[in-house]
Amino acid sequence: MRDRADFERYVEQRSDRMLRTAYLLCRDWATAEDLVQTALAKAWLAWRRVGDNPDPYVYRILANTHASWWRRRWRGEQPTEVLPEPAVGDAADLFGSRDAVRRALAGLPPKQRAVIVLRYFADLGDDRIAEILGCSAATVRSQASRALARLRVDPAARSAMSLEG
Amino acid sequence: MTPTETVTETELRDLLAGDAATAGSGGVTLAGVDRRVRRLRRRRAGAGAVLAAGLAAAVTVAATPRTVTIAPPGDGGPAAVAAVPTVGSYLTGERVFLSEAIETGGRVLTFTYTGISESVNVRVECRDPSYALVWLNGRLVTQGVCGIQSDDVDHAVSWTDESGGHLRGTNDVAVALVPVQRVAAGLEAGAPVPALGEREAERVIGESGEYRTGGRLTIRDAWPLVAAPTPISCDQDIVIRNPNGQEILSSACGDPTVVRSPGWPESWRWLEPGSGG
Repeated sequence: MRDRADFERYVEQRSDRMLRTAYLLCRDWATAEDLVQTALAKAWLAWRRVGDNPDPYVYRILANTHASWWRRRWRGEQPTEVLPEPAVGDAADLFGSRDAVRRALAGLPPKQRAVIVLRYFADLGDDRIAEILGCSAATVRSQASRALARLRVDPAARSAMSLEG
Repeated sequence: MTPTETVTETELRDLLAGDAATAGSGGVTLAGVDRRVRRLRRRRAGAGAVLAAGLAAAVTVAATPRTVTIAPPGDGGPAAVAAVPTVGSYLTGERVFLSEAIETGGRVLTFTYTGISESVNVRVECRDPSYALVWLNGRLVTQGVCGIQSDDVDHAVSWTDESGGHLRGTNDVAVALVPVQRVAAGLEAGAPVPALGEREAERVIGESGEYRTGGRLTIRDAWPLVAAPTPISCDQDIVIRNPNGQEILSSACGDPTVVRSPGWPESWRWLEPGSGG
């Protein structure tokens, strides 16, 4: 049976990596800390049922909580009639900057972003990601494909990521 | 995978690794996690209190005095209709007829159990945010959200058969978990999820496809709580409705009397009439 010492060991060993994953999901360290604390707290409340490998469970809470917070924040935004002017910087900003890729990533829906982060940062296989996100591996593949396609259609991302060769 | 995609993936990996390395936080501490645990517990306790209040209200409704109509004096009718013990509510016992782990979602899992009570309580707990559907002897009897949902509450689906049917002996129970988004698609977050019909349930399960998840199905004995308000045990706890519509409420009695139901476990002896509850 999993006990408190087990949980403390898990927090000690995994929270740093988890925090970095959370940061990539939300792009804000304070929110990432909040996300990880919430995920670990929920995991502790269900610790006895979590099983031998808590990672999928904890990562799932992380991804779901992030998606849920993202939706709430999105609903709270006020629509405006006029689109904001895009920030125009120099050519390096637009075509060479990694910020452009970050912006493109930030524009992805939470599930697609989670797929990208879990696949390319956490180095998880599609089956594992499917388990975490509660969907099939085929869905993971299609979400990843859509996410990459969206990154490609973003001109700045396309340039920064050398997708056009 | 084409070479172009490989380049993309490599650059993407580098970008993510680089960004994640720019630690801008003090990190997560056990103390912080424990504080969050206490907050979650308070919120869940709050939600539990609301549920308990709802349950108490339901029991109150079940235990409210029955209304009887008296015939106008002089027409030879009885002064009051004798009350018949009524089934007010059910209590779940401690006998477990079935306890099965659920490891697959998007699929109907069927089990057989042998019960000794006329009623049963079916409970489904989920590791992941899910929507649970339960069939008893081929009939879709209950459904609902299961597991920790967006309200941070760990929901369970719990249903007690109150049909008065006989569930002694062998029965079939089936359960299916599907991702809650499948059922709540297009709904506002927090909006009530409309119940699925048999065909819709079948469709949603088919569309979900099988996936790994976690949960538990538990079936326990349940027994009817029989209330006999009047005149059997208390001849004043009664609502009398006169033919003119006027109601006379007499509440001289205290708590409603609970009569032991055949088959109740011995441990429930305290519920017998006169035991003081």
